[in-house]
Amino acid sequence: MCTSVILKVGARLIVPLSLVFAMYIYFKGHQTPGGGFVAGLVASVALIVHRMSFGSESLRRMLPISERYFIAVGLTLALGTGLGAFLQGLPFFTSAHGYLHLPTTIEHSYDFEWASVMAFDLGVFLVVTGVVVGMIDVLSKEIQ
Amino acid sequence: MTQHQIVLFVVLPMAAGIVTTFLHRYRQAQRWVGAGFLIANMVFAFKALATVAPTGAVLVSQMGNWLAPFGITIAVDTLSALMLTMASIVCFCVFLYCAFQFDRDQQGGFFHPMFHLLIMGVQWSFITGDFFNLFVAFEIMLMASYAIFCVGTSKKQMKQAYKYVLLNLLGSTMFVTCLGLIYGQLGTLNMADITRLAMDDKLPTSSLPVIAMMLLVFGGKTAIFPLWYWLPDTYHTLPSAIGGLFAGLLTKVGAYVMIRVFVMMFGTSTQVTDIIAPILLLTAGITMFLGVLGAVSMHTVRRILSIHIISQVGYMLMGMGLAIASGVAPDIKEMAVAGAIFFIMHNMVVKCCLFLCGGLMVEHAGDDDLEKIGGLLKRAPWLATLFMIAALSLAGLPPLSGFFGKWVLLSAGFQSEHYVVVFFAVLTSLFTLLSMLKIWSYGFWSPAQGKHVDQPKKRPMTIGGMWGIALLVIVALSMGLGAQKYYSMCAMAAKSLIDPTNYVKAVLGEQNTPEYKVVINEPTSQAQPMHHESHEPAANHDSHGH
Amino acid sequence: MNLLIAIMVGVLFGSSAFLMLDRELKGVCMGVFLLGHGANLAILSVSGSPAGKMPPVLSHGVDIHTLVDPLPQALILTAIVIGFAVQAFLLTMIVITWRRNQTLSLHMLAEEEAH
Repeated sequence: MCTSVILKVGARLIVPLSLVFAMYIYFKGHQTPGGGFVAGLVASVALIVHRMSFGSESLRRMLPISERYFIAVGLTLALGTGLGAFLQGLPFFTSAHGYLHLPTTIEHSYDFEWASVMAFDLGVFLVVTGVVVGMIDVLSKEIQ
Repeated sequence: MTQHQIVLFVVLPMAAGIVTTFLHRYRQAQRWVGAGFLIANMVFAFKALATVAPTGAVLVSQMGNWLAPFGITIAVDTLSALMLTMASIVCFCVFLYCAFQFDRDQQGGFFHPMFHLLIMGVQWSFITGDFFNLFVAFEIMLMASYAIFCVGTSKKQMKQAYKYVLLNLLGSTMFVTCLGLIYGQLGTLNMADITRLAMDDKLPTSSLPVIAMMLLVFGGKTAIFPLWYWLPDTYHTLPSAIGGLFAGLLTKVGAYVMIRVFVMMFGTSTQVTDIIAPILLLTAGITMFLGVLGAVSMHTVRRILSIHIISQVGYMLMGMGLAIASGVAPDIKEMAVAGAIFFIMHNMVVKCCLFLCGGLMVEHAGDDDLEKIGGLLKRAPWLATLFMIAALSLAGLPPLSGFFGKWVLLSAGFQSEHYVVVFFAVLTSLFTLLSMLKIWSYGFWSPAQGKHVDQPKKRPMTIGGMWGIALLVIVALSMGLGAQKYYSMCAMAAKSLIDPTNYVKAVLGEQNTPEYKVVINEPTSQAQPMHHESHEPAANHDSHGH
Repeated sequence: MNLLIAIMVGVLFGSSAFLMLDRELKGVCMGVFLLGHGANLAILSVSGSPAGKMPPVLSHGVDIHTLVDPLPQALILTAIVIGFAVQAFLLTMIVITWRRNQTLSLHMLAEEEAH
């Protein structure tokens, strides 16, 4: 655990920003570069910066459930996405997509393209976050 | 079983892994859930076999509904179905042993998830029709095996674990490099597509070194002659149940992949077989003979059994070598492949069974050094009976399963006039019997000695292990007594491997075979841009393997 | 460009071979990691020279013939992730070895084994 004031102040700024940025990458990922994997890495970097500056107890308070369950939940989501198509008699992982009209103002609306891959990607996001945070948490504990 | 259901062979073990991760604090629940999933897995494997074996049909499912050479294909043909059936039986028996037998402290909460993920990797490599997915499946299998290897390690185990992990890592890196180069040379990684290129004799000469390099990769995994050094050192340090699982599955996955790659995919291309076949036949003879010599010289049960794995791999190599050797008639080729497949199946069951027996011998006698134990015939008569059947089956005495596998291989060798390798095969068989009798006479037959002799009241809990062993022995017996039925399925599998037209058609479709040329100098200038869209899901779905 | 990549792959493979012959466990592991990077670079070279080509991102009005082959990149991504997991595993093993033996020298570990 680092006691540097600069790091702590910086972390207060960077951690929420990175988490929001991770969300941005996640939603952007369907047609353009991005996606659950990269978003997961960014989010885990944020969490690790938090752990470096405020210690692992603080990280525990931030993540009330163990990151191991992140992995299990993420895998369940990813598997469930495939099963959805499978139960309809289609090949595993066949994806569906459509458009969602989101009214931004009264005149304009924003067509958001959703795809079943997004659930899969959310699973990847959770797995990556869980694995990376878990690994670094365990390894740095061992060294201390 | 409908064609899209074959994905269950990956989904079921993965789901089991996930559920047991959630339950990692509740051992009892983990056991029951795991047993349920494994039984379901077995049922599906039998159903797949019943669908595929009578007609030689191929069940194909394209992941995400993407067209064949661009998306990821999974396919179950007769060979895959046979392997899946045997593997699921072996897994279930090992699970019975583990769940009731394994030391409590070694069974930390994450043993069960790793066990199921290992099965997932194994079954995935049996059903995949895509080369890169084979790599991913291998890696999942190996990662799980690394983790299981390190569960409750002692110092001695740790050293062997390094050896195991580092050498396998080296192999995997080589494998992935090979795949990259193959993609550069052929422009495709779909197995059926590569098979088609080989059948049309369109393999560029520059791809031959890469294909030969793959022999090195799979040879390392299967533990053939010059690359076997890691196996005898590592397997005997494992707990017996895990040793049985690894012995029954991991090297056999390597053997399966070698059949798939060198017999089915490249077996039709003479320029490849001219290089590979002599190497396979040579290493087959050396592997089986040196392996069994090692076994005869060893003095602990588990070491004998570990080195025996290598010797048995030799027989499988012999079958493959005969199947692609030049100047062999097609029906003899079929016979050789069928023999190799039969032998792999027999070996999965019997080898695993012997490892489990070895584990129970340790439970009963407190040690597995043959000098220090004895008298197990009186202490555990049922164990002795089951061990005897399995051991004689391994040695190849009629009417047990090993006999028929060897008999088919030997007669294929005779008819194709490869007398040298046949000679070594017979000699090896003799020594195998010798080493098995050594365990029998020292461990079971000789007067009682050992740690637990003075306390005759103490009876170890062996019920789960005994059930597992008994089930395996029943399967081995049925393979011996009903050999005709098993052999006809193997022959069916062999036929479609020697002439893979059906497989290619089933995967790629009748008319929808996209035409693209192989260009040697500029590997990527064509082929991909036309189908750009189709490449995207590969990126998505590969991340599924993480 | 291809020549440059070939040289870099050679350098990576060579230095990894050198590191793997090290007497310290961490050197050996670093060698294995470098080998993975070399392999990834070798796969990247398969997609040909990227000169004058676009990143493989589809959008309206893009001529698909000008895109770089994305499949090797997908392969590398997977290989990197798998390599990442294995590296973490190896590092954990090293940490455990260090805590047990207070040394990472293969020579010392072998000696300890003998006693």
